[in-house]
Amino acid sequence: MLERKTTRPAPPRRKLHAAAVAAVALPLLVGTTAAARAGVDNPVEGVAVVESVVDGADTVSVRVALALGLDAEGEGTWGLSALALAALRDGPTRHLKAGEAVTVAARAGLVTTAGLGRDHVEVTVTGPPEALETALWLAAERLDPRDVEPAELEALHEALVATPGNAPTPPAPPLEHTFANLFGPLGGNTAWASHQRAESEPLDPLAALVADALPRARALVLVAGPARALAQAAPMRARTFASLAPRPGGPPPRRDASLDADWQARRPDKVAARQAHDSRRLVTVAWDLRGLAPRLGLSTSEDDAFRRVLTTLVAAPGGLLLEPLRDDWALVRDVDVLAPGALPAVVVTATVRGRSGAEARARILDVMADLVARGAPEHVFDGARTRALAELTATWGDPAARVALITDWVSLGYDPAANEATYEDIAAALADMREQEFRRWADYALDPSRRVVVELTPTQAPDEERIVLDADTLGSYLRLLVDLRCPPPGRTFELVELLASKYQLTPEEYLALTRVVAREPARMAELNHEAEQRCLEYKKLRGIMPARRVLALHRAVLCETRGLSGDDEDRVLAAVFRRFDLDPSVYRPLLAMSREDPALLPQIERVERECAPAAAP
Amino acid sequence: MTRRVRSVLLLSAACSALSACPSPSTPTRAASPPPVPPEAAPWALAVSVYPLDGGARALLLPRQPERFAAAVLFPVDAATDEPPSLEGLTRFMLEAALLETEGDDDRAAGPARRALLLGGAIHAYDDGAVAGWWVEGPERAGPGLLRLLRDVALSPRFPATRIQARAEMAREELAQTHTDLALRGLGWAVGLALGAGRPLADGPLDGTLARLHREDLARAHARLVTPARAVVAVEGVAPDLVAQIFRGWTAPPAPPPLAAGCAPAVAYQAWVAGPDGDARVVIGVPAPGPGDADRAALEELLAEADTHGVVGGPRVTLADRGARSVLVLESDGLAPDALEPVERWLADLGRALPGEAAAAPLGPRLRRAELRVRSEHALARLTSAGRAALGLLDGEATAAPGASALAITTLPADAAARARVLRALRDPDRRVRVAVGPDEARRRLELWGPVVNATRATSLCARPSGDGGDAGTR
Repeated sequence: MLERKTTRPAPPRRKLHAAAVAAVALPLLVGTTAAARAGVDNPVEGVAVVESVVDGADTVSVRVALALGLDAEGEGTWGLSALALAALRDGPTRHLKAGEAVTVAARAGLVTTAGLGRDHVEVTVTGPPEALETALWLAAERLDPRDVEPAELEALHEALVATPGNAPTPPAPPLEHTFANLFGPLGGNTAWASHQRAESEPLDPLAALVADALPRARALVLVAGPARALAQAAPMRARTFASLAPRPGGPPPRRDASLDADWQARRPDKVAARQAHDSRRLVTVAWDLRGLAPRLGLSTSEDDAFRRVLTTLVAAPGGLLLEPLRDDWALVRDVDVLAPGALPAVVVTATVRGRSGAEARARILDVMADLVARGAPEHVFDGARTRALAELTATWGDPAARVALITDWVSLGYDPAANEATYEDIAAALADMREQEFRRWADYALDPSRRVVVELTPTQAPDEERIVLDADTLGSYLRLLVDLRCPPPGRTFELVELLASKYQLTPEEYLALTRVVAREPARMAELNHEAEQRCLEYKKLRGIMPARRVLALHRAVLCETRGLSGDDEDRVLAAVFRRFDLDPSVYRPLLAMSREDPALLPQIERVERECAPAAAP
Repeated sequence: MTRRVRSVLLLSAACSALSACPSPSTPTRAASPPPVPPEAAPWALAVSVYPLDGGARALLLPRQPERFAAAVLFPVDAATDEPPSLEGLTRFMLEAALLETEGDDDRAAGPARRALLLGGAIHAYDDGAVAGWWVEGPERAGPGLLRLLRDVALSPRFPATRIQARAEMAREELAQTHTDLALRGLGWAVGLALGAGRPLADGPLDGTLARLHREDLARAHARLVTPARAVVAVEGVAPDLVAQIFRGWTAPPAPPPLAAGCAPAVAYQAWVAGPDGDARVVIGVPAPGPGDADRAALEELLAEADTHGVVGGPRVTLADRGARSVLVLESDGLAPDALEPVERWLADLGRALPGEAAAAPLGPRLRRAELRVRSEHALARLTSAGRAALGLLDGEATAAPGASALAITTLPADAAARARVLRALRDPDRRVRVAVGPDEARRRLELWGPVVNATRATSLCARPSGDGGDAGTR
C-alpha cells in the first residue's frame, strides 16, 4: 500500500467528517488487509517509513538508514560515513543529550546495533513488542539531530568503536584489492577504512560536513514486527514522524566509475599483491554480477534467486568447492565465499596450502567452468535451491534480519514498499527454478570478462612455507649457530643486531627458520654436531694467531705478491709464511674464520681493496 | 465561539485521539519517550519432555512455520573431560565427527553433503558448558535431517588419515594467523582461575593438534555422547518420530578412565613468551557459572557494561567451563599501566549509566530483551532448552529436572546477588594474571609475586606433599 501523508491546511468541513471516519477505521485496517501488510509512508519530504508484518515474531525491530554511506566518500570526505554513524547513533537530538539514546533504548529493553554500508549508515533497535513506541520515538529523535562540536563528535566516534559489536573488523586481506579491482577505484573503500580515516583525517572539515549532511540526508525507517504491535503503534508513529523537518537530500552521490564502459573494458583480469596482515597465502576469484537481469530478459527477483543458488552451491559445506579443494586435493585449508547482499557479486577466497596458489586458482576456475558447461549434479542443485529458499524464509521470519534484508534490497534498487511482493517473487523463483535455466544464467554471469583473480602473498611476516632448506640456507644457519656458540674471545653478539647486520634476517624470520629446521630432529642434531666441531676448530685456530696478526698476514700475502706469478709468487709466499711462523695450510681456515667476525670483516675487505691486483691495461 | 468552530475543534480533538488523520495543528513529538508498559506476556519457552531409549530425553519445542531444527546436546567440562596435554580435544572431536558416519550410503557423500541434498545444514556446537551438533532446514526435510543428526551423534567413523590431515591444517592456520599465543594466554588464565593447573583454551592448541590420534577422538566420543547424558531438542516433528529414529540408543562399553594427571599446583601468575607485537595481559576472575543462582546478576551487569563503549577498555569474555565460569579481561601492550583499563572497567561495573538512576539498573530488562532477541534463532531456542534440561541454564526458572515439561522464562536478579557478584569480581585476591610477550612481560609480573613460565608447560604439577604444593612457580 502506498499512502502519502503530508501536513496540509485543514480540509473543508465535509471532508473533515470523512477523515474522522477514516481515522476510526485506520487502526482496524492496519494488520487486517493484505494491502496494509507492507506499506510506505512519507510523513515529510525525504523520510520514508516502511512497515513489514512478521507473522509469529516475538520481537520488533526499527531501523533508521541515512543515505550517507561509503559511496558518499571520496577526496575530502574520507571518513564521513563513520563519523555520520557515530552522530546518528549517539549524537544530541531535540530531546536527548549526546549518548543518551542508547540508554533510553536499554531502559525500554531495546538492543541497539549500528552499521554502515555502501549507500547508507544505519542504527537498528530490536526488542519486545511493547517497546515499539519507544523504538519509533527514538527513530524520530535520531532524525531530528542537533549540532555537535568536533571534539564531541570525535569522542562519540571513539565510544562507538569501543562498544562491543561495533568495533570494525579489518576486512580479510584480499577484499579491498578485490573490490577495488572488481568495482572500480572507489570499490575498495570499506567500513574499516572509513573508521580508520575518521581518526586520521582532519576533524574540523569532516565534522562540518557531518553537521551539514546529517539533518538533510534522505532517510528510510524500516519497522518490522508482529501485526498487532504495528497496528497498536500506528497512530503514534504517524504523529511522531509528521513532526520532523523535511530532508531535501544529503551530499550528491558520487559517480560510480565502475559502471562506465571504459572501466569495464580495462578491468584487470589478474592482480598479484602482497599482504602484511598475517602469513597466509590467499587466492581470490570474484565475479561482478551486476546488470544481468535486463541483458538476460529476467526479472530482478529471478536474477536474485539465481545468485542465491550460485552462492549456496559454492559456499555451503557439502557444496562444490570446499570439500573437493580441501579434502580431495588438499590444496586449500579453507574456502570463504562472500556474497554481499547489497552488492551483486560473489567472491571466493581460498587459503592456500603450500608455496603456490596457481593450482588452487586453476581448480576453482575448473569447478566454475564445469558448473557452466555441465551444470551441478541434479540432486545437489535441488538441495542448494531448497536450502537457499530455507535460508530466505528464516531471514524473513526474524524482524532484525528482515529489516537488514529490506535495506539490502533498497540498495539494489527494489521498491521498499513492495518488500512483501519482492520476497514472494524471490521465493517463487527459487521454488520453480530449473537447472537448465540456472546454467544459462551462470553461463553469462560467470563469463571471464566479469572476473577478477587476486593472489596475495605475505610480506612482512615470516612464511615458513616459503623457507627452502637448501645448501645456502643451511650453511647460513650453521654459521649463525657457530656465532652464537663460540663468539670471538672477549666479544658477545647482540642477537638482533647480528641477525640484521650479518644475515639480513629479522628476529621473526630467524624464529621461522629455526622452527622449520627443528621439524627435522635428525638434521638439527647434525647441524649441532657440525657447529660443535667448527667451534673446536676455531678454538685451535684462535690459539695459533690473534686477529690483528691475521690481518697483518693477509696484508702481507696480498700486497707482497701483487703483480707476481709462478715461482716468484711461491717464493715470496713461502717467505711470508716463514716470517709469520705459520704452516701455509692454516692460512685459508684462519682467514675464513676471521671473515665471520663482523668487526674484522670490514678491515679484511679494506686490505683486499688496498692490495688488489692492478687492473689490466 | 460559534457552533461551527466548536464542532470543528471537537472533531479535530476526536481525530487526534483516535488516529493519525490530518490535524489543523502542527504535529509535535513528545519530549520524552513513551512509557514502556510492563511485559504483556513475559517471554517464555514451553518445552515438553519425552523419555528416549537408554535414558536419553527428547525435548519438543513449539513448531516454527515451514522450518525444522534439532540438536543433540550433552554437558561438557574441559577440566574433567579432556586428558592432560590434549586441551581442546572435545571441540576437535565435534568437528571430526562431521567427516564421515556409519550411516553414509556413499563414502563420497559425508554429513555435510547429505545435509545439503536435503536442503539443510549440519553444524557442530560448543559453548564450554554444553556441546553437540545441530541441524536446520525446511520442515519437510525434518525426518531426513534428524536421521543425519543421529548418525553424526551416535556413529561417527573418525577416519584416521583425514583426521591427521585436518589436524595438520589446523596447526598451519594457528601458525599463519598467529592465534596460538592468544589461545594459550586465554587458556592459561581460565585454567589457573579454576585451579586446573593447565590451559583450558577455547580450542585445540598446537601441542594438542600435534599429539592427538584417532583413538583419542573415539574415546572422547564414547565418554561424552552417551544416552544418559544427552538430550535431543527438536522443533518441527512429532515425538513418535524422534523416539523411532533414536530407538535402540544404548551406551557403548565404558571407555577406560582418563589417565590420572598430576595434582595441579596453585599459581596466580604465569608468563607465555611471545613477540612484542602480541604482548598482552590477560586477567581471569572466577565468576558464577551456568546454573549458578547468581549467574543472572552477572549477565545483567555484563549487559549493562556492553551498552556503552569504554574507550581503551579491556576485551571482555565470559568463558564457561562446565558448571563453572571465568570472566576474562584482556588488555593489549606491556606498558606499566597496562592493567589500568581492567581496574577502571571493574570499578565502573554496576555503576549507573549517564542519565540513569542508580536505583533502577538497566540490566534486568536489557538481559531479558537480549534473550528474547536471540530466541528468534533456532539455535538459541534449542540450546536454551538443552541447558535447562541439563541444569545449566543461566539463571532462568525451570521445572525440576525429570519433569515432563520445562517452562523457561527469565527472572531478574535481586540487588543482593548483584552486590555479591560485584564484590567477588573486584576482589584482587581472586584474580590470576597471565602475561604474553617478551621477557619484559615476565619481569613486570614479578613485581607482584612469583611467576610460572608457561611457555612450554602443558600443566603445573604440585610437588610431593611437604613441598608446599606450590611447586612449578618461581
